[in-house]
Amino acid sequence: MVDKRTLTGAPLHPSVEGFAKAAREGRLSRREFLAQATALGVTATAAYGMLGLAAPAAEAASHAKQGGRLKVSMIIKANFTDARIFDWSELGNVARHFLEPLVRWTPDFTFTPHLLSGWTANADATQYVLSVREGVMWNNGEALTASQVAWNIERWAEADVDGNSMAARVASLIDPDTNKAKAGSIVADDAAGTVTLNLIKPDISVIAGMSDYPALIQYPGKSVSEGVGTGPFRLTNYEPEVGASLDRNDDHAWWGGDVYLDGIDYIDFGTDPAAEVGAFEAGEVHLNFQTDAEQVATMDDLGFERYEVATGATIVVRMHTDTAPYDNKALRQAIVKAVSNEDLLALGNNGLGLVAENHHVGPMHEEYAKLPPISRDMEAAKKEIADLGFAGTTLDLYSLDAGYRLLTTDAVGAQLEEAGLNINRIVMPGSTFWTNWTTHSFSSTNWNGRPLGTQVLSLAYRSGVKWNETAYNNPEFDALLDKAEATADVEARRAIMAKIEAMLQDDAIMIQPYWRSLFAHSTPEVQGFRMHQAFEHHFEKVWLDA
Amino acid sequence: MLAFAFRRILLAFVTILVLTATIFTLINTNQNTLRAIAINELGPQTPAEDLDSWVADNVLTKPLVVRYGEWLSGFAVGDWGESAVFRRHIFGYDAEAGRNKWGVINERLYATGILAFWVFLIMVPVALLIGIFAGVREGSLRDRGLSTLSIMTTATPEYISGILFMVALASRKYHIFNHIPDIPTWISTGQYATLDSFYFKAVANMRNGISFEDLFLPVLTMVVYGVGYIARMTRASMAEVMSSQYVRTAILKGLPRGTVIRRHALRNALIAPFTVIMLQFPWMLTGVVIVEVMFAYKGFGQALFVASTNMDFNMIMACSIVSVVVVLLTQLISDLGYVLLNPRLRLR
Repeated sequence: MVDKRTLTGAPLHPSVEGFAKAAREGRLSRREFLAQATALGVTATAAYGMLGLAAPAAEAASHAKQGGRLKVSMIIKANFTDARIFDWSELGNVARHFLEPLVRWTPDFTFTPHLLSGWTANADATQYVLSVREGVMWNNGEALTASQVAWNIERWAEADVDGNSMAARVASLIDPDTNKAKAGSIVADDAAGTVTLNLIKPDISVIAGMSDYPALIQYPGKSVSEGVGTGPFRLTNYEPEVGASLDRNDDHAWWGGDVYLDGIDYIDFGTDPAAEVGAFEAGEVHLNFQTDAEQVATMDDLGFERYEVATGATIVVRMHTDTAPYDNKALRQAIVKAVSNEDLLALGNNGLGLVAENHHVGPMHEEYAKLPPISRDMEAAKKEIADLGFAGTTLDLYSLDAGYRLLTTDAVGAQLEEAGLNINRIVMPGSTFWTNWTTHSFSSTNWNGRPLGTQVLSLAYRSGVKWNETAYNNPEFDALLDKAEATADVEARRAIMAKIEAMLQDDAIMIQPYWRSLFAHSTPEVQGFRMHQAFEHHFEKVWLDA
Repeated sequence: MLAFAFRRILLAFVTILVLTATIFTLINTNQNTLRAIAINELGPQTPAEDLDSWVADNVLTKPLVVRYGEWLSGFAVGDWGESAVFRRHIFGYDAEAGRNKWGVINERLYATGILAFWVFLIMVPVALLIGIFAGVREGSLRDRGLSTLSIMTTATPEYISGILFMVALASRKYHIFNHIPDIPTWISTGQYATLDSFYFKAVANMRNGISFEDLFLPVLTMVVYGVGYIARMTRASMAEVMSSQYVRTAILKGLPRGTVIRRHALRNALIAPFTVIMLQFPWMLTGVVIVEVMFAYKGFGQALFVASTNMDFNMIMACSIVSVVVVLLTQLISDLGYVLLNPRLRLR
């Protein structure tokens, strides 16, 4: 029987009904339900239908105007060679117009199939069947095959390749002995157009991982800058620090239908926000990559359209628990207690965001469990710091040299001075800051949002992982996280998450003050653009009302 | 004279050697800068161990002296290497290269050269005129007024004046002519004029070469800052000459005042400003960093800024050498010119 509610016509995943019930009863937010259901292969329309809602209509295309080049202000980075080692969203943005992902994470926080037509997961999330979309052509005239998709996934799993961050996202395919995909874990069937993934351990984040910016499908053996891809645009120029240009590829029949723009010009105006404002005023750009929180009011005032998305992007002011005196848990707790997250949001990000709770999981994640509220207790903090003998101790506090990272860290420093510590603020430019970012004793780091709460915990706080900047080493936490990652049922996962969150709060390894809302601005003629929570640019349906 | 020039050029080579050796050593012996180089290849969130192993495999392969020697021999024959940030060859003409056959340094120096040309063409005459007019009658109202103006412009750094010009001349909403009525239009229509001809772009796009629009605000910002200093030097020198014995004698013997100033005073008064003007070339190299970054003008200063914030080793070396050459060259010209202008030195 064909089930119309799923992307592939396969039966509905057993846990979806449970989520729908939870969502209807208000235990699960609409957004969380949509993310969870679509990750399990339900169509967006059906997912909305289960909530008794109509899916939002796709941007009515009838009045869209054809033509024009969209000019976008964005940093253009070097290293435009291999998508899996992309380390900046900006690299992914240029490439995404001609290289496409298997799955898209939409601004509604759902997952929609892109180069896939759908996928199914088994009940314990150990086997996924990906159906490759039919009729997708490479711009060299060949058809996309399942084995080409499998070739890409195998490359993602090559954990020994320097800078290959995809390996962490497909960790459940990797054989720890070879640091490559385990034999038999990726099975392509070109006749059926499917790729079957047999995971080593249950993993609910596979589909989410395939939507991230390095997860673009490349033509076997071709470098990104050679421009062979499936997308509707063609790369015509890429010059780091200067700009990049793409033209609509009229020689290539794109599977997704009409594209309105004649082309896209990315222009790099450097990092000085004044230059970007000047570029807007001069009509040199239509759209920017991001408007910093302190620039939002200026851009609004100048009459530009504002785009906003509430996200899982955040800042953590974390302590390296291997370095004295931060190996002292009581001191860490006192430090966290001395800081008001509300104040940090107000001072550090102009109040644009949502207060967070020092455990790096938030309401944008489906498995978020609400814990009892935390608050600042300056008197207790002062007393504890004095009792521990740290009153007047000088602590180095590191941060980058601009924007919310500077301001937030400054505010943390000021509050800690009030609590009786002596703060030595060390402010660094990116080139020196990032050389030691995981080992600074006490510093702030920005993190992009990930679709699932477990994902970022797994990247940043699991014992011994590359990005573990707190040197957090807690076998109990690791075990709970493993369990959460193997639990497809979101209610059951939430119960585990409550323990994890409480554990992180109690261990006081970080101040995670707020979730950032992200902003961009455009001139009024830009139509059909939506700010994406991970800064992704999807311009196929964007048009200019000139 | 020739021997003097020869000595100076020799000294320049020694300076370049010492300077490059110092920078080379500093960069290559500091673990953090080496890691920053590795970050260019491996990405910003690479753990320190991976960075260190990359450095060991790719940079620290031979003893420091040997690597410096290799770098120096490459440099001497024009092979300045590849830029990690711009991903292109740095120097010279490469017929094999795709889109950009000229190196980054060549292109950027050309752009900055155009900028500097216009800055000097406007700044020097304006500054000299202000200085002469102020210095001719020391203490007069005209002198006080021009001196105050000069001090004000010199005391306003480019990053302040640049922003002010941007707001006043490049913003649709806050443009200065939105607030000052254009009298004829105002009388006839009662409306403020929208003066599109006074609207300038605050960013250089440089798409079709370097246009007036690209240059206007950067040149204005640099001229305003530079004028004051030269004007004040000229004024001081002019005032000193005007109070000297021979000028007084010339006036007393009944020569017209204009002739005294033109024939007797000016030539001697311009020796000091000449040195100051030559010193402005090295100043240009630092001044352009701020101005070019602010107006996104893709010149030498902007390249230097990007290279140093991203630890682009080859670019930093190239930029330092270019700076040294510019400084030494202008000093050489300044010294030679001084000898030519000052007869007392010519005798020796």
